[in-house]
Parts: sequence; structure tokens; C-alpha cells
Amino acid sequence: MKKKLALYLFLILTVVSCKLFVLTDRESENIAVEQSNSESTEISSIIEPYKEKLEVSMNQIIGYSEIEMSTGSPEGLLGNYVSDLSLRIGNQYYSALFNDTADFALLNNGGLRTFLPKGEITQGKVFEIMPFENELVVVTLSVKKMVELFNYIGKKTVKGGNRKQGVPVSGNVKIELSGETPVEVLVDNMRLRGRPYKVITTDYLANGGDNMDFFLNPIKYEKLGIKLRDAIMNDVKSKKLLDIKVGSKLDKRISYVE
Amino acid sequence: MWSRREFIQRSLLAAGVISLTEKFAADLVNKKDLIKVSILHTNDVHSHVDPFPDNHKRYAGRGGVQNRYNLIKKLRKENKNTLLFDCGDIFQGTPYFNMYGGELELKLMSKMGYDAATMGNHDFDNGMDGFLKVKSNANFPFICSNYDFSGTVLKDKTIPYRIFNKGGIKIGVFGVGIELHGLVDKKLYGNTKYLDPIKTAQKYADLLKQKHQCNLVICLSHLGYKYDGKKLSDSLLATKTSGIDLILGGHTHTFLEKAEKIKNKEGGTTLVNQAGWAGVNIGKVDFYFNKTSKKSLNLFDGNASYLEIK
Repeated sequence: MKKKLALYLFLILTVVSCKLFVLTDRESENIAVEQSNSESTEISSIIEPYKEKLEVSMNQIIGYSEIEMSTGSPEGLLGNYVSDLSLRIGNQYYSALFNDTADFALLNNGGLRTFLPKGEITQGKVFEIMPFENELVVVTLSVKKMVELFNYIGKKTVKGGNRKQGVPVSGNVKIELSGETPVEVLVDNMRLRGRPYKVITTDYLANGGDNMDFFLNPIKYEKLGIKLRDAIMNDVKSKKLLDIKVGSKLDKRISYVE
Repeated sequence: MWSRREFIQRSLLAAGVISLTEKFAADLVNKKDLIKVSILHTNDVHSHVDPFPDNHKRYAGRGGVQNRYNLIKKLRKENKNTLLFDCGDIFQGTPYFNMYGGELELKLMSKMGYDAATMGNHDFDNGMDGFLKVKSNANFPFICSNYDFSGTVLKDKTIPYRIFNKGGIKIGVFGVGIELHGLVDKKLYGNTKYLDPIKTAQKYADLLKQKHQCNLVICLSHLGYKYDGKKLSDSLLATKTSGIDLILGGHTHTFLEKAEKIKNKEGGTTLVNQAGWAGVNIGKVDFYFNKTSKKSLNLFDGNASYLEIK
């Protein structure tokens, strides 16, 4: 009974008073979440079982590499490997979904976050290399945009540059540079022709990431519904099933003329 | 107004009532006599359950649920009238999401005592079925006002608004999400209808402020902080609506030092805030309300909003 009375009183007070509240001041300060010691385990006890199972999964060996692969410029083993598998697996999806074939693949070294060691490849390593959720897409570009694309590669490529320089392309592209200028460009052994080209890349780059403005406002933009990370996983796992190690070669797909 | 304040200040000084301080305005109505409502918020946490590793270039040791929770607990101790919100993209970004579909993130947010969240585009990453599958781990509501889920599996699983009461202050909260078309694969959001965010925001601001007499109206948004051009953002929404006191944002991963003050459609003040990304920051906005009636405030000044906004 007392409880009820208190509740009524509270309600009455609330109703009476709420209209009288007037906003008088505002303050704001966003706060950094720093490392802090905690004796309570109420959070860690929730996380722990998930974390343990996750670590088991991330430590799972999904394949083997015959060679250590890093990104590089004008070309790198890792960039060559990932762009080649992007073209191959991307085109499997492209033909299944749209009954079409893309011409080549182009990615960025900045998106490949670490090197692939020789030997065992864990699931976690693929997450480290490609932590982003970027998906493969096919962008159809006019010849004019294609010229911009190859000029971009010329500018972005630096002899022996840092991890983020250089532009990974699939091995069916051959580019010869003189300084920053492309002097020879072949796609499937042929010079560019007066037709639109279909490029497999990630949605991040297709939306102008890494200043790839040539991808903006394309003739067509088609989503393949597969993440780049999953494409890498597919390649590693399918090779393991066949008892093959993944590998890569430097094949002068981008090179300098003397 | 300053001269009037100075006048009051001098006369009160002369009467020996108070001593001179720089923050005279705050002393007129001592903040201790005010009711303070603290709004804490995160956005784009993107499944960052663990803190960043100690060798991380930018955010070494920062973030992580345990650290966030410690901070939130401390802030709640400082002010019991505290609300905690999230503005979407809870999912996707670490293998925790890939492996468990968001179950852990929602479980932890429930433990941390989130009062509500709105949905970001990445919260559709496993489709609406995927969202529904883990949603029961959340003991807080998802507030989505401009996604019409009526033709989908999420029908009646989200709410368009909620009213909270803290220390007698009525706080109305609604949520606006970003256009999914072109951003999220159609098969993931299915028959979700996208309602105009400006019209929706105004509708709920009016409903909450006028019909429900809320003292404070908050919009949880995943539109993004600001864009070049005409694309709708929180900054733009603030100028195109009235009656919203605070827009908490997400999507653009914008690190603001503090909430930005924007003049709304009617000339009033709307604050816009965003707390970056991955839970390395927690956003904080405090609102002060006077306990006294308007009449007693008139002793000093007819205008209740005479205190400076910081």
C-alpha cells in the first residue's frame, strides 16, 4: 500500500514538474577509451569462450605457400598472386551471374596489409593480409578512362618503392614504362582497342579509393557478391585439396624500358 | 544581455551574495541545482571486441569492450542520469562477426547497458535473417524510424521511437538510417522501404516534443557527418529540421572533439556529434535542466536560454 502511494506521488510529481524543466546549458567532450585495469571479469568471462573458439579457427591451417610473398613496385609477388586469383575467381562468378567475362584485374597494394610467409597459411593470416570487407566488382570503362587508368599506374609505380607503391594487375596485362609514362600497354597480348574494357577490382577502389578516379562514373558497375578475402581463402583451400602449394612469380607484367 | 548580466552580477556582489568568478553565468543558477542528463554514445564499433594491439600505429591499447565498459561505469557513477546509445555498424570488421554473426557484440552491449541503438548499413551484412538470428542477444531496442520493415522478416522487430525518463527529464529518441540502395546488396535488405529522412525526422521530433512533451529529443543517425554536395548528412539534417536537440551520428567514422552546434530550421540549436570508429572514443554530451519553475527564473531573465552554450 505504501509502495503504491509512493508510486502515485512520484507520478504526480513527475507530471507536475516535467513541463517546468527548461534546458539551460549544454556541454560536450568526447573521451578516448584508454587502457584501464579491471578486476572484474564480467566482460572477459563473456568474451573468453568466443575468443578461444575463434583462435582455434584462426590458427587453422588452410593451405601452404611455396614462397614468401610481399607487395612491391613495379610488381610484387603478393600483388601478382592476389590479382591473378581475383581475375580467375572473379570471372567464375561473373560468368555464372552475368554470363560475361572481364578483361583483367586491378587492385591496390595499400589494401594488402602484410606479407604471406612461406609454408603454412592460417585462416588468421588471410584476415591479416585482407582485414577489409571489400568485395570484388566488375567496372566497365571507356577507352578514355582506360588511358587514365594506365597513366595512373605509371604515376603510382616507383622502382623499388615502399609497400604501398605500385599497382597490382593480373598477369594478362603487360605495361612498359619510361619514367612515369606507359610506352607499351598490352591486354591479352593486344594493344588497347576502341571498345569498353571490363576490369575486376574491389568496391573500395571502384568508388574512387586510393585516388582511382578513373573508376568513377563508369559505363557499368556490377557486384560479384564475393569478398576479396573469401576469394583468397577459396584459392588457398582449393589448392590444398589438390595438394598444391600456392605460388607466385615476378613476370615483368609491369616493367621499365631502358 | 551582457550588460543586464553585469548589472545582476554587480548588484549581487554589492549585496555580498556571491563572489566574482569568470563563469558568472553558471553561478547564477548553480549547476548543482540543475538536473544533468548525460548522453554517451558510440558508432561504427565494427565488431571491435578486443582493444587494439600494443604495436598498433594509431590506437595502441585503445578501445575494447572491457575498457569501454570501465569508462562507462565511471561516467555512470558520476551521473546517474546517463543514457548510452549506439548509432549503427555494430557488425563487421573483425573475425568475431564473420564467425558468430554479431551474437557476441550484442551480448556485450546488453551487459554494458546500452539503452538503444539504430541500424547501420553493415548491420544488414548477413541479411535481415542474419540480423534477426542474433537479435535476441540484445536486451535493448533497435530504433529505426525511416526503414519501413513491414514487408520483411524484421516487421515489428524494431521500434520507431522510445521515450526515456532520467531524473524526471523526458528524453524522446528516434533513429534515421542511410539509403540502402546502391550501398547494400538488394538481397540483403529485400523489401525494406526507405522513408525520407528529413520528413521522418521532423515527424518524430514534432511527435516527441509536442504530443509527448519531451524535454529533450535525440536522433540516432547513420547518415554520416557531412558530405560535399547535396547528399544528406547529419549536418544538413540539423539545418532542415527543428525540435531536435541532438543528432548522434555514424557511418563516416568522423572523430569530433565535441558536439558541433548547428542552427536549425527555426533558429534553435541542434547539436551534432560523432565518436569516430571502432570504439576508440566514447561520445559525451551533457544537458542541464533547471529544477525551478520558469517563473522563478524570470527573476533573472525572461529568456530561459540565457546561459551561454559552450
